[in-house]
Amino acid sequence: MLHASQVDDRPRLTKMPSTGGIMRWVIIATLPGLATMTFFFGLGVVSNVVLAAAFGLGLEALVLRLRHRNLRPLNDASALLTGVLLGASLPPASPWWLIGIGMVAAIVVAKHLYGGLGNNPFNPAMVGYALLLVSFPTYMTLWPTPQPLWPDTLVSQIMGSTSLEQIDSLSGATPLDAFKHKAEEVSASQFWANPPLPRATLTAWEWISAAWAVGGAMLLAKRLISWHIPVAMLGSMTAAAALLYLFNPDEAASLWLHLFTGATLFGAFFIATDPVSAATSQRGKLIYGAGIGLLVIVIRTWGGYPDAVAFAVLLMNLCVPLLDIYTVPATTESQAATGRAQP
Amino acid sequence: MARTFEFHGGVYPPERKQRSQGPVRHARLPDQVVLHLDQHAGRPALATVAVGDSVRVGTPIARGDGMISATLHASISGQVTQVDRHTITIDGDGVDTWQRLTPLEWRTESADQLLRRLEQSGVVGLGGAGFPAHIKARIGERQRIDTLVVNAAECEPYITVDDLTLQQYTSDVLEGAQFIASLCGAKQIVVGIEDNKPEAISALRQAKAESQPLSVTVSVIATRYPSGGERQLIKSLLNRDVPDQGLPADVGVLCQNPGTLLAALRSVRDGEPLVERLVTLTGEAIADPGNRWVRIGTPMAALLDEAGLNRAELHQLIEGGPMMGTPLDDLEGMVTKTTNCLIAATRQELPPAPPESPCIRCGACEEVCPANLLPQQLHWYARAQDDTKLAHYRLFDCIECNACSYVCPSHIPLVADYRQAKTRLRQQQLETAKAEHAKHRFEWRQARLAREEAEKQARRQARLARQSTQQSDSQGASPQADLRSLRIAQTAAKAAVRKAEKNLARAAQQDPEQPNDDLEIQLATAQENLQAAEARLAEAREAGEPQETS
Repeated sequence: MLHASQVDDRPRLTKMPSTGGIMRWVIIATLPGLATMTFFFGLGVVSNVVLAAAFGLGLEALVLRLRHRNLRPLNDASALLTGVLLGASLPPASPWWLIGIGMVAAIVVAKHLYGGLGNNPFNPAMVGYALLLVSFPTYMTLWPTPQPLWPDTLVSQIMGSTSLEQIDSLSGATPLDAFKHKAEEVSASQFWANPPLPRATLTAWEWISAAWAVGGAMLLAKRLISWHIPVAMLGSMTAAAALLYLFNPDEAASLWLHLFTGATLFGAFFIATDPVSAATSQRGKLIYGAGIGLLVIVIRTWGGYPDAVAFAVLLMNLCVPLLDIYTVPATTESQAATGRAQP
Repeated sequence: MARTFEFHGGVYPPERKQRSQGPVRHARLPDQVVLHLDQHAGRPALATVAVGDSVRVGTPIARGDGMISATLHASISGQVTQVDRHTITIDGDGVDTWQRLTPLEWRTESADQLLRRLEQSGVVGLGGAGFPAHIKARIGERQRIDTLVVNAAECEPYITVDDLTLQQYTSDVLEGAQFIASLCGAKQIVVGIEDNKPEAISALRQAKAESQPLSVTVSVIATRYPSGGERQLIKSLLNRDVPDQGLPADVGVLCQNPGTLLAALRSVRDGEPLVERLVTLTGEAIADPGNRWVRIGTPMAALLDEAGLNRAELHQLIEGGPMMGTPLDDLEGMVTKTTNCLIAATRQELPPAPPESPCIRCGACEEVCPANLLPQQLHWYARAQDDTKLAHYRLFDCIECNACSYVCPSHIPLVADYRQAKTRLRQQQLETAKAEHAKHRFEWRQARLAREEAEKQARRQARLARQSTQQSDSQGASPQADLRSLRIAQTAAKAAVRKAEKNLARAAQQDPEQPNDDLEIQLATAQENLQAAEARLAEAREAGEPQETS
C-alpha cells in the first residue's frame, strides 16, 4: 500500500521523513545553537556533546542487548539526540563521569526502564539534567566566563580531574543565576546599573538564545514540530513575567532576562517539544506549553533554582496523562442531540 | 462555482490517474464466471438455480435473503456447472443471449414498482460498500431527504472509474440521479467532484442544463484525500456535519456514486439487471491500462492477462485503491459488484513497508485524521486492548481511510490495528448478543407457528362461510368489537414491521460489514406477526360478513 515516505511523485510536499529521519533533523537543527555556544564558551561544548552522544549510543546498545532486542533501534538516532540535548545543557567541559551519570539516568532509567522509545513519560535528557543538578549543584551551576575556544581544560575533562578550583577560577554565574542570588537589599535597577558579571556574558547568552531560535525556526519550517508548544510556552512566560514586572518592577526580573539569557528558547524549541513526553492533542499541547512557561516563571521567582526549564518540563510531563484524557477533540456536536450510545 | 467548505485533516497522495485515462472499452467475454453469493452488504443471497440449468445474461440465479441482501444474475449465457455455499459457476456458450426485464418509465411509474425493479435488478452501491440501492432509496419513507449528493470525488489514487463514467455517460448519470432523487424525495442534486477531473467537470457543466426536473449543482472541490468519504464530502459541499454514529440521512442527504446511478437508470430504462460494471485496470505491471466494462464474476487473471499483465514484474495486486483497498495474495479472485479497480503494481511503484518502529507521538496522524480523532492514542489503547479508553477516544468513528498510516514516520499499520480492535469488540458484543438472539429466534418460531395456525383457522372459516352462505345463514358471528381490536392489532403489527425495517436499514447502513442476523430475525418475527394478524382479520371478516355489511 502507499506510504508517504516511499513516494517521490507527490506534487505538494517533500518526502516525509521516517522516525529516525525526524531525530536526525532535530540534531541538525541544534547545530546553530551548538556552534554559537562553542564560539563563546569554547570546545568544551563540543566535547560535552560528543561524550554525551557516545554515552547515549553505548548505553542504548547495552540496554537493548540486556533486553534481548536487536540493535536496529540504534538507527532511529533517539539516543544520539538525548545525548546532544543533555550535552548542550551542561556547563562546558563537564567531567566525563558527570556526563556518564546523567546519561545513565536519561537512557537507562528514564527511557528503557519505562519500555524504551515511545513509552517514556518523562523527557530523558531533562531527567538526567535534573538528577545532576540536585546531586552535583556545584558542577552544574558554574559556567565559564565567555572566552573563545578553551582547550586547556579538555585534558582535565578527559581525565575526569576537572577540579572545582580549576572551574571556579575560570567561571562566573549565568545571568539568571547572578540575578537570583543578588543581595536582598539590591533592587533590580541597582543590579543592572552595576551588574556583577561581564557584559560579554550577557552578550554570549543573547546570541546563544538567538541561535536556538534559529534552530527552532528550522524545525517549524520543516514541520517537525508544531507551533503549539513553543508559542504557548513563550506566550505564557511573557504574560506572567510582564504581570510580575508591572506589579513589582523593582524586584522582578525583566522579560528580556527571562527570555534571552537562559535556557528558555532552547527549552521551548528542543525540550518541551519532545513529542513522546508531551501532550498529544493540539489543545493539550497548548495547555502543556502554557503550563511549562508558567512554572518556569514561578520557580525562577519563588523557587530555589535560577533557571527552571528542566523542572517545569518534568512537572508538566506528569500532567500529560490527565491532559490527554481531557483534551480529546470534540465529537460532532449533533451526536449529543441524537444521544445514541457507541457500540 | 458553488461554494465549498473544509473538512479536517487529509493528505495529498500521488494521484497516478493518468495511466488509465483512455476511452472505456469492453473486456472480452469470459468463458466462465464465478459469482459470489455475498458480494453486497448484508446477508448472502440464496441460490435459486441448480447444476445443469441453462441461463441467459440477466437470468436471476440467487435471491436476496432477508431485507438487507441483493438479487444476483447470470452475467454470461450458458450453463450452471457448480453451485456451492458461497459461489455459483457458469460456463459460457459464447453466444451472449440476454434476458431483460420490461423497460419502465421512471417519470410515470409508481415508486413501489421502481423500488421493486431496483431490487429485482440487484443494483447495489458500486463505490465499495455494496449497499442495496433499493433500501437506500427507501430512506425517504422514514426520513426527510432534501439533497441527493452524487459522490464523484474519487479521491483515491489510481482509480478513474467515476471520472470515465462521467465523461462518457454524463447525461445518463444525471438522469439516474434525477430518478433516484425523485424516489427519495430530494429537492436538489449536488455533484461533488475533485478539481483533478477537468474533462468530467466540463461534461457535467454542459449536460446539467438539460437535466430535468431538479436543479443540478456541480461543486468542484480541492483534490485532497479522503474528500470522497461521505462525511467529508457532505461537509465540503453543504457544510453539514453528519453526527458521529449517524447517517447522511440525519442531515437530509442521500449519497450515491455515479456508477450506481447509471446502473439504476439502466435497470429501469433498459430493463438491464446489474451484470457488468466498469473496472479500472492500472499499475505499472499492466501494458494496456484503462477502464473496461467487465462482467461480474470474471476471473481477475483472465482480465489482467488481456490487459497485458507482466507477471514477472508484478509485486502487489490490489483490489480497490492503494489507500483503502485490499491487497490480494494471488490472481485467483473474481470481479464482484464492488470491484472498482485492480492495481497491478511493480515493486518500485509500491515498495514493501519498512519495518515498524515505536510511536513517538509526533502527532502527524492527528493532523491528517479526517474524523478528528487522536490516532496515536487509539494505537496505544488498541495494542493494550483497553476497551474503555478505545470508546473514550472514539474508535468506532474511524472511517479507516488510512491517512494516518500513510503519514506515520514509524510506519505503524495503524488502521490494521484499529480494525483488529473493532473486530475484537464486535466479537464480544456478538457473544453477549447471542443469548438475546436465541430468544429472538424462539420468538420468531412462535410467531411462525401462530401465523400458520391463524391462516389455517382463516381457511377453515372461509370454507365454513362458503358452506353457510350456500345453506342459508345460521352461523354464529364474531361481535363487532372483536373486529375492531383485530384491526388495531393489524395496524400495530404493521408499525412493528416498519420499525424493525428501520432499525435494520439503519444498522446495516452505518456499518455494512457487520452481520445483522439478530435484526433480520426480529424483522422476520414482526412480519410473521403481521401475516397472522391479517389472517385473523380476514377470518373475522369472513365470519362477521353479515354484521359488517349490515
